[in-house]
Amino acid sequence: MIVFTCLNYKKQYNDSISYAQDCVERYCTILRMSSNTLNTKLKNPRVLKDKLGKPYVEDGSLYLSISHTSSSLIKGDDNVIAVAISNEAVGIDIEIPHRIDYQKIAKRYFSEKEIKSISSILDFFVLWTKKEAYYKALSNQENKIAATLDVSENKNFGTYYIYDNIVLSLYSNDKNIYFYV
Amino acid sequence: MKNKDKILNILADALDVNVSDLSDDKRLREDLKADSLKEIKAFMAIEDSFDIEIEEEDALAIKTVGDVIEILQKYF
Repeated sequence: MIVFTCLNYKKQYNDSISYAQDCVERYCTILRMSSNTLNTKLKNPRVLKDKLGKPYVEDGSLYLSISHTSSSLIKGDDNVIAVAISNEAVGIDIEIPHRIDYQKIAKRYFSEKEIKSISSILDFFVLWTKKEAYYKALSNQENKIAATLDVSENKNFGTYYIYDNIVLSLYSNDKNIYFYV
Repeated sequence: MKNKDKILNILADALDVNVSDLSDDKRLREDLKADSLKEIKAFMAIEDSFDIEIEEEDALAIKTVGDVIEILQKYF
């Protein structure tokens, strides 16, 4: 899996799909360069959105997930995007921890076990991003709000901190993770 | 529509945009850059303001500003 991130991506790209398309092309280039034989026939697949707005790679050769957020809390810029690409199902979510009535939200949407695991606002944002990443990775969860998916027993998560104050969570069976920042 | 102005003001505050940006066709995620947490905050603020509880299926069905106004009418 490769995770691509970009600060203030809107200065260079029209939208998140344009950036994701660029990331897919870079991912394919890296694959070509790292393979034993140079596969010149490998083409860059297109990134599209389904009827629910979920992005996908047209030929199904790769899985991808996109997350973006904007806030005056982002140092130096006001928007950031992250794209995860893998040959296994993947979900990604980013959030900037900020003041919020997290206990009220947790009480409404989180399981008892999840609520007990939260002892700070940072814990809340870590758990929130895990839930969103899980939701995005599982394409058959259209009928659920991400926050209601219980992730307390699941181990396929990784949480990282990028650009000093942004929480990034990944969900995937793919454990080989590289960051392209 | 009943309570429309109040709903729009709450929505604008929760999504950190101007009320003038909230035309009916604006999509919460793509056009107004709302992430999942901002959406939840917006819905909870509306619930608190009107003392209602939005059903999960209605929350899932809301994609645009117009959807917010139309779908929430049944709660008033």
